[in-house]
Parts: sequence; C-alpha cells; structure tokens
Amino acid sequence: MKILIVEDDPFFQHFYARKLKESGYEVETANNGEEGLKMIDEAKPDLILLDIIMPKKDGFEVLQTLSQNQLTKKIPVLVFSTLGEKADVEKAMKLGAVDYVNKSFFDFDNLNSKISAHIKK
Amino acid sequence: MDNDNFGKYRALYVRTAHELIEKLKNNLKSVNPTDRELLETIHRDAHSLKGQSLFMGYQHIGQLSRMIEYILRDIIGHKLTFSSQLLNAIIDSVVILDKAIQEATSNKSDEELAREIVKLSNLTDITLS
Repeated sequence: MKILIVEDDPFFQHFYARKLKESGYEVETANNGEEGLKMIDEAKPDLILLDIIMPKKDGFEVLQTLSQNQLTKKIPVLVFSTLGEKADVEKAMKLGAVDYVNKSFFDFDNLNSKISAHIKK
Repeated sequence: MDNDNFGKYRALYVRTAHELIEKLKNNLKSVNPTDRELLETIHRDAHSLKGQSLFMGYQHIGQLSRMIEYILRDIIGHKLTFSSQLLNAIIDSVVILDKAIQEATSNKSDEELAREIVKLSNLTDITLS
C-alpha cells in the first residue's frame, strides 16, 4: 500500500514517513501542494496524508484539484491539523477529505486505524 | 511519545526548529506590511514551529509560536494593524524562542515564554484557548 505525504514541514515529513515505513507502507513525500499534485499523477498513491498550510498550493487547493478529476477524487485524503484548526478541518472535509490527523500529539494506533479504515485493500 | 522515541526525534526537532527560527529572524528584519508573500512565509514558519514544538511536548514554545502564527494570520487578514511596535515585540519573542529551543534539552523554566505570550496578547487582544 502506497501513501503519499504532502507536507512542507521537514520534521513531520521525516517523522511520519519513517513511522509509516516501519509499519510496512510504501511512502512517497512531497514538499508542497504543487509537487504533491505532480506526484499524485506519477505515483498513484492508495492514500494521501495532506497538510493544509503549505507554499505553492495549500491543502485546500490540492483538494479542489483532486475533486475535479474522476480518478484522483477516489483517492482517500486525510488532512493534518494542529491545535485550533477546527474550521480548517471542516473546510477540508467539505472539499473532499475523508478524515483528519491531529499533528499536535502522536497517536500511531489512531493514525493506523484511520488509514486502515479508508485505504482500499 | 515514549522516552525512546522522544530521544530519537529530539535532535531532529532541535535542528528543524533552529532552521525555522533563523528563517523567522531573517524575514522579520525585512518584512513590511505590503509584502504579502513574506508575511505568509512568516505565518507558515510560525505555524510549523508551533506544530513541531507541541508534538514534542514543549508546550510553552508551541504556544508562543501559536501566538505569533495568529498575529501574522490577523495581519494578513487585515484584522490587525502592522506596526513597528508589534514587529519589535515579535522579534523579541523569536529571540526568546531561539534561546528556549537551545535549552529545550535541559528543561529550563517556561516562565519567560509565558510572559512573552501575555505581552503579545496585551498588544493584540489575541487570546489562546
């Protein structure tokens, strides 16, 4: 199962990539929204972990673009959120995200169960 | 996070947080109220610093970063006026954040950080929940 992490923060990119690889997932990373959209076309991930606040297309723009393509709109997207971003999560869900991951604290069981719930086997 | 994981990622946190602090310091020196792109860069970097710090359990570093993030958000959204007094207060806070991150491994007092949060809150009427 291939997961694409679209995240401009090198700390979180490195951390989540490592943890997911340790769990047996194949992981690709992108540093911003624009790069993420290119990689979605090339890598065809089974699930996307998407940050919201990023340079060169933010998470909302990525979600909007994905929803306009019949193929990419089917890829489940989990958005990253941190403390105090409830409105952003709600907006992301309206744009097609299926769930969110709170970046403020680490709960890998929770992340894993959300990935399992949404990734197509 | 358990102690094993915390230790493994603390060095990564200190390095990436330091890089963000250096970017913030450089960008704050040259920012002006009409430079939206630079304001958004500063906002994103404060947001990243907040996230990493809260994740690693450095609550006060995270909350002060969050205050700076919210100030930039409100300046960009024209809810807050950019002023030299506010800019200088943010620069002072970044200097204190720099010191706090360097001292993060020694668990020194967060009182100075808490005072900075109150100072910025008084200047902006932004409160953290």
